[in-house]
Amino acid sequence: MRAHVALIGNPNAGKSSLFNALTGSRQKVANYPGVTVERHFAPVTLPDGTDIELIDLPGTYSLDPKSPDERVTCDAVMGRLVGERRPDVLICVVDATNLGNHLKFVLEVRDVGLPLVVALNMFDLAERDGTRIDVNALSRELGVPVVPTVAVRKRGLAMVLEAVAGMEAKTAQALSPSPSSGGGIRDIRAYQKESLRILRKVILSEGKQRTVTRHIDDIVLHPVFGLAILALMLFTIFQAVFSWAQAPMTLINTGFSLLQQWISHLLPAGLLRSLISDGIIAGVGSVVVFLPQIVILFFFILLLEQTGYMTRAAFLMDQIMAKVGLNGRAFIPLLSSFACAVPGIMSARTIDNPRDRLTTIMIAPLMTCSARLPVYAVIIAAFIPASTMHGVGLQGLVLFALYVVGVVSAFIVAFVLRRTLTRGPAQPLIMEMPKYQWPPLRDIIFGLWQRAIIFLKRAGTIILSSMIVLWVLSHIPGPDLDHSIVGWIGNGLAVIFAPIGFNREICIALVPGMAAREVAVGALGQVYALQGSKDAVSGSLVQVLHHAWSLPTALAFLAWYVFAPQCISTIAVTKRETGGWTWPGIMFGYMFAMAYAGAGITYWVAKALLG
Amino acid sequence: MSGVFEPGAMPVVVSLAQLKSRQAAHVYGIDGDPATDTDIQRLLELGFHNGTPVCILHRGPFGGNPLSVQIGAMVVALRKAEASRIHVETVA
Repeated sequence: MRAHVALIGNPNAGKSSLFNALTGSRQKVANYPGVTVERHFAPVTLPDGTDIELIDLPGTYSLDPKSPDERVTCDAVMGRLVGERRPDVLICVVDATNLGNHLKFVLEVRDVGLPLVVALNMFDLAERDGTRIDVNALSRELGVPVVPTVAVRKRGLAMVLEAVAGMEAKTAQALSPSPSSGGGIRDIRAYQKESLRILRKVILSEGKQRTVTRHIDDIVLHPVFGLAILALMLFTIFQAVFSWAQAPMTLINTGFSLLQQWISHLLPAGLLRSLISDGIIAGVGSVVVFLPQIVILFFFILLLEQTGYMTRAAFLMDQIMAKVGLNGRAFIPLLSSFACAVPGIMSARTIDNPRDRLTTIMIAPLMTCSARLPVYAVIIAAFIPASTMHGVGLQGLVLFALYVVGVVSAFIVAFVLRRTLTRGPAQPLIMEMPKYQWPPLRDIIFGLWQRAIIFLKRAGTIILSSMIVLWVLSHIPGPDLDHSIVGWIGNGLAVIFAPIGFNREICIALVPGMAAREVAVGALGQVYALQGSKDAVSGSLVQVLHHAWSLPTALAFLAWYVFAPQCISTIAVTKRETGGWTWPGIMFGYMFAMAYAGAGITYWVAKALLG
Repeated sequence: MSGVFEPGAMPVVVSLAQLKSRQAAHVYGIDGDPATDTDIQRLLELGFHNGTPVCILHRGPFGGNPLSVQIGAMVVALRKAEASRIHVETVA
C-alpha cells in the first residue's frame, strides 16, 4: 500500500506552491467525503523509487479548529476523517520570513507524534532580507529534519523528498513518539514560549523587514484611491469578460455550425439527424460557447486571490458588509460567486462564525454567476438595441443593471436574514493580510485548467444528458412537440407562469434549466429547432426569439433569471455544506418567490408602459 | 523590547485602538479568557503574544474601520472593537 504524505501549514506559507512544484500536472482535485472541502492529491515517486500519495491539506493556524476547512485538516491529521486514511508522514510548510509566528505551529504539529519533515519555504526571501537561520540547529532543537525550500523556483524539492524517504524507512520500524510530546496538544501560550526559546538559538541575525507590501498598501488601502482602484478593477474584470471573450466565442460558434453542416451531409434527414443536430449540438454548443468567458473570469479571481489583493478588497468592503450584518471576509466568497456559486459557497467555509457563514451561503446564488451569462446574453442580443446612450452601450448597460439588481437584492436578503433566521451578534473581523506576491504562471494555469475541465465535464455530462432526455421526451408518445410529454408539461406549467408573461416554450426550458441555468438556453435552442425554425442554432436563436417573444415577456424572463433558483449543483452543495434540507429548502423557496414576483412586476409594468 | 523606547520616556499602557498610526508599541495583554474565547485564541494564533511589537499601518475608508495592524512580521486586519480589547505598552 502506498504511503500517504500530507502537506500541512499556516495559510500563506506557500503550501500550495510547494504542492504544485512537487506534483506538477499529475495532481487531481476531488472533495473530501461528506464535505465540499477540496482535496488535492497526486502520486509522487521518491528518490529511492517508492511511490507515495501526496495530499495538500487546507491551511490552518492551529490544530484547534475554528472554521470548517480547518476542521478537515485537524481531523485528517488525527485520523478522525471518515473514509480517509491517516497520513503516514507530515510535511509542515513554514514561511522562513515569518518563522517567529509559524514556529509554534510546527511545535504543535510535532506533538501529534507522526513522522515529520519541516520545509523552510521562501528561504531565499529570508536570506535577501538579511535573516540568517541556523537550519542545523533548528533541526536539532525540533528533533526532525528541516529542509530549506523555494517552492516557486523549485529549489530544495529533491531534499524534501529524500527526507520523506528517510522518514518512511523509520516508519517501517516501530514508531517511537518524539521525546517532547509528553501529553498531546498543549496550550498555545506554552508553544509560544517554547518557540521563543528555539528562535533565540536559531536566528543568527534578524533581517530588516521589507516594506514593499506596506508601500503598496499605502495606495491600495487609501480611503479614496483604494476604493477607486477596487471599483476600477471590478469594472475592468467585467469588461474583459465580454470583450476578450468575443473572438474565441465566435470561433467556437463557427466550429459548432460547421459540425452541424457536416452532420447534415453525413446523415439522411430523420430522427437520428434531429437528435444529433437539434438535440445535442444545438443544446450543448450553446453552452460550451461560454467557456472563454468563464476562463477569463476565473483567471482574474485566481489572480486576485494569489497576489494577496483579495484580502485587501475584503478590508475595504468590511464596513459596507457590516451594514447588512456580515464582515469583510464574506466579500471573498461573494466575489467568487460571480464565476459560480458552487466554489463561492464552498469558500464560505473559511468563515468561522456559523451564522455569518449561513448568511453568506444563502445570498451567494444572488451574485450573477457565469451560468446566467448565456441567458442574459441571448435575450439582450435579441431585444435590446445595440445603440449607445451618451457614449455608453445600451446592451452593456442593461447587463450591468442586471448585476446591480442581483447585488442589491443579496444585501437586502442578508439584512433580513441577520434579523430573523441567522440573528445573533456580529462576528469580528480578524484576518491575516499576506505579503503581495506574483504567483507563478504555472499555478494560475493549473487552476484555470482545472476549472475549464470541470465546466466541460458538466457540459459533457449534465448538459448533454439533459439535452438528450429533453429531445426524447419531446418525441414520445406523439411525433411532435404538441403531442409529447414535454409539450404537456409545458402546457401544464404555462398555467402557473402565464400570469407573469411566460409562454409554453419558456416553461419547457425552465424544467431542464433545473440541471444548470445555462441549459435553459440550450433547451430554448432545441425547442425552437424542433418546432421547425430551421436555423435555431446557437447564433441565430437570437433572431428566433426576437420574432417569437414580446418585449415584456423577454424582460420578465431576464428578471426571472436574476433570482432564478434553478441550479441543482447549488442546491446540492448547500445541502452538503449546511448538513440538511432545511437551508437549501429555504434558499429555493425565497429565490422562487423573488423570481416569480420580480418577473411578474417586470412583465406588468413593461406591458403598461409599452401599451 | 526595551530598545523601542527613548531612554527616560515613561511607558504607558493604552488600548491598541487608541494608538496613532505608525506609533510603535508592544502587546501588553488581551481582555478575556483564551480558554473559552475563540476570538482571543485566533489573535494568539496570529501572534498577539505579550511583548510582540505592534503598530497600526492603515485605517479603513469608512469611519477609520477596520485597522491594518503590523504584528511581528505579519499584517492583520482588525476592527476597532477587537483592537480595544488588546492592551499595548507605548510611550505617550
